[in-house]
Amino acid sequence: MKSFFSEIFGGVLIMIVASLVGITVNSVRTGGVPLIQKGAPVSTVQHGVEPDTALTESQTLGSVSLQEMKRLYDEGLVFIIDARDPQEYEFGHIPGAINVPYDRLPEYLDMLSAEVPMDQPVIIYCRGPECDFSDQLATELKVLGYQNVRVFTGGWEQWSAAGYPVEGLVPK
Amino acid sequence: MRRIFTGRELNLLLRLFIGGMLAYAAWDKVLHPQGFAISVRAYKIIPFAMSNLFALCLSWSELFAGVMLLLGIMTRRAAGAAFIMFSMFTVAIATTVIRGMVIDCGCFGSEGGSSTSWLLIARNVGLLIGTFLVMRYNDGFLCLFPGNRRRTDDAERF
Repeated sequence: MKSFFSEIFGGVLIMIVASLVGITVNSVRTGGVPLIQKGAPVSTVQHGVEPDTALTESQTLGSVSLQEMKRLYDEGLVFIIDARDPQEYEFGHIPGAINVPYDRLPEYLDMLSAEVPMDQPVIIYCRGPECDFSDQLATELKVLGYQNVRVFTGGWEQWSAAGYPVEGLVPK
Repeated sequence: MRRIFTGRELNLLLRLFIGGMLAYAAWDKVLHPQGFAISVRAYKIIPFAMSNLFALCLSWSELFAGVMLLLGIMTRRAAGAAFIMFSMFTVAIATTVIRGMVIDCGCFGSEGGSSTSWLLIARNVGLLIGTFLVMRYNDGFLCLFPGNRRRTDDAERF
């Protein structure tokens, strides 16, 4: 048992040295990250919030209602991003939306920066009002430097229920 | 029977396998710290402000432990570091499963592919056991710089 703790203690020392080396390399290399991440996570999820208060709150949080989403979609001036799994995206999505599954964002970073310029308005959606992938993806896009990021809180649920145009395998 | 688990042959295999895997997994994370910080934030465990620092420390610790295990440098302590990290990963993945979250585990950096699940927890527990065997029974066999007393008493006994 004594040996167990001495190896664990040695392991902690190795991790401390490795961390110090990592922090040093990060500060001199290009593409390093800030040690303290500024900003705060985006939060528009409306678990059990009364519809009226949800609307006023969501306006201040930079989220988009169904009507506004439809208007922006018709104008065609925003980039729409679908934060759900590729399977869900393939089944059906808002026409023209780009699929960036939130939890696999690291894999999609190159595609994202190639397709969507940072100064362009972006709207993100996921399944519906209770999913938080769109919030989390909005948080990450802001960290990456996107300046105009909003969340369509109604998501796929509200869009498809409203009978608006869809793209994918879903029976029309 | 005990000889199989504590002997140097299995220990060598485990050391190379675990070390190689850690070094391979760390490589992408060390090269792309931003991507790994995103994976760390997806777990919603570490405070937002600290996520970058945590990702940085973890990926470099993985790299160090992996390379040290591969080459056999302070082998048992490197296995100690790996043991700490696999324990952290296992607990982190378990909390996502318990909270009902299904996210990509970010295990191998931006490669993607395995989502958090009980199966992934089982894989991690397997790695924990293997790492424990290296930590406990490695006797410096084919190690560059074992850095620990050779456990000749054990080696001679069998």
